[in-house]
Amino acid sequence: MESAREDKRIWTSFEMARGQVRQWRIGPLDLWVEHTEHEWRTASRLAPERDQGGAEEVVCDQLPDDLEVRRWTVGDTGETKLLLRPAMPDRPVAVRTADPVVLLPGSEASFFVGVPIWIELLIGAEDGQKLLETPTVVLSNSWFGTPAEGEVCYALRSRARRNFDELEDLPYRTICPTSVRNESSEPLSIQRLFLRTAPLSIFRGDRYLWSNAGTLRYHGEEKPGQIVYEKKPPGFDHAGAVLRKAREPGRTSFLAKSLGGLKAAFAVF
Amino acid sequence: MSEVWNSFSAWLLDEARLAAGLRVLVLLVVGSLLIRLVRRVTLKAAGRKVSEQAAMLIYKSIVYGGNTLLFLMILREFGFDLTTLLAAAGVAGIAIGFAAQTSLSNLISGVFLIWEKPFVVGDVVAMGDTMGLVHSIDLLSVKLRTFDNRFVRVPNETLVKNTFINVTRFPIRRFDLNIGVAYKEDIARVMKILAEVADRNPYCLDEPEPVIIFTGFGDSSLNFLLGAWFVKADFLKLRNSLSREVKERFDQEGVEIPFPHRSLYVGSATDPFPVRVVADADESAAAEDAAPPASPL
Repeated sequence: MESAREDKRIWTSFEMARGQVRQWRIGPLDLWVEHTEHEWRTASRLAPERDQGGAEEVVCDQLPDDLEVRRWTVGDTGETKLLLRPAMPDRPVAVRTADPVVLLPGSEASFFVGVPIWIELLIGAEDGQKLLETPTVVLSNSWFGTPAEGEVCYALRSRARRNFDELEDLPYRTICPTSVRNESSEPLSIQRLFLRTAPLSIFRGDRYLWSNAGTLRYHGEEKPGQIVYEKKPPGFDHAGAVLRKAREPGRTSFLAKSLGGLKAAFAVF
Repeated sequence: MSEVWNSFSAWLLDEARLAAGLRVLVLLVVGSLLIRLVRRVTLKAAGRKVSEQAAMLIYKSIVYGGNTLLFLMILREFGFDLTTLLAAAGVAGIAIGFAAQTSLSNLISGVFLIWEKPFVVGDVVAMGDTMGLVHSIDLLSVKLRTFDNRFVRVPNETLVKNTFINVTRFPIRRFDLNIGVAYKEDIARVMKILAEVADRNPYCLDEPEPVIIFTGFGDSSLNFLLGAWFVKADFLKLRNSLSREVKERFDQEGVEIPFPHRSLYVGSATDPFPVRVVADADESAAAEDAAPPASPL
């Protein structure tokens, strides 16, 4: 029993009277919320085999019996609105390029990365209390760095594409436009991209969710690279309204010099 | 009585003695404040650059060193000859040194451990049969808490002299799972299945890539090693899930995990094993009753 709610209208506030139960199905994730007299109750289930499908509300009248229910006591605030919004993953992501790319000195390449979203539930509006944050997909761990030093991140199964039309049309992913500009005097080989998600906001487009664009200027192995994140939405798909602000907004950051040695395999954002 | 009091007052109010008392008082106040100030400034300057143990060592050095110096200066103000005192202290030091060789060795080893910093509080250290979390690093010993919640004291000298393993020094580790499959299985297919299992496990890092090695022909099995990298905090989750998933996948794919086989031979491997069937006593008796009587000769 699917409702008529469209994918792109799911990211909004929902009125939930006491005693009401709602269920959303976002890709492999099923999410239930019940509003009772003094608390909110949530339950979720991931079905990895269901890696297709949209983001939609499903008609439902009770929480499932076979799942662990989390209870959120919030006091008698009288708030009956619940905000459902997408968020970027809580760690950076590493993604392989569809094919190895070599950037000659002075050249630039754009990539589009489909990053699975996290779901946030907030009571009330944007600045309301957060009930939970949960991934829509189980992502494997990955590592960026050497065995002695580095940073844990998620590995994406999908590939970074040169054209966003080549990405699978999945409503539970945010497309992150990224560019690498080789300003060194040596060719730069790119096989994987390491994308920091904390400075990325999520914008609503006509077809997809989008993040702000990031550009890496590569100056060579021994010199720190410079990363610039745009604040405005990317110029694709009429992306405009902000659905989720960045966890750690930042316009410019510098790559540590020590990470330069990894440049052959990685471009870092 | 009044004479005693008068002489005591005269002794007390002696100008030189009063001046010395005043100097001692000033020394005590200024010295204590100075020790406190030096301690605070040094620890603040060291900040996060030094470990907790090194900060403790600095703290104790300043407090004990400063107070000893202050005590000697006060003695000097009271007219004690420090040369004699220091000579006596030297002799006493040698005597104490001989008597407390082990403790001093541990103390010096403790300083080396703090300086070298081979582990910090919270690391998991393995030494011989003992493995546990480092609970504290002190001047004489390191205290460990084992995983079954026992307290182990390891003298610093032992740690300096012997080899130990810091299991959690680096942020990622490799878990090696040894697996044997039946001789009838295809080696390439088994390696492919192991790679897929590692790829699907969320705790197994995709970079560095898992290591899959055919390690050889065992007594009863073809042996493989699956080395999966993981973030150190995920050790138990990876160990349990990976072993379970390998077994489940082998069951799905019909890959046999053999148990040790024993072949018994009687003298020659090619001859059949001789079997003699012996009926039990009741059956033998029944068979005899049923048999026709033997004809008289």
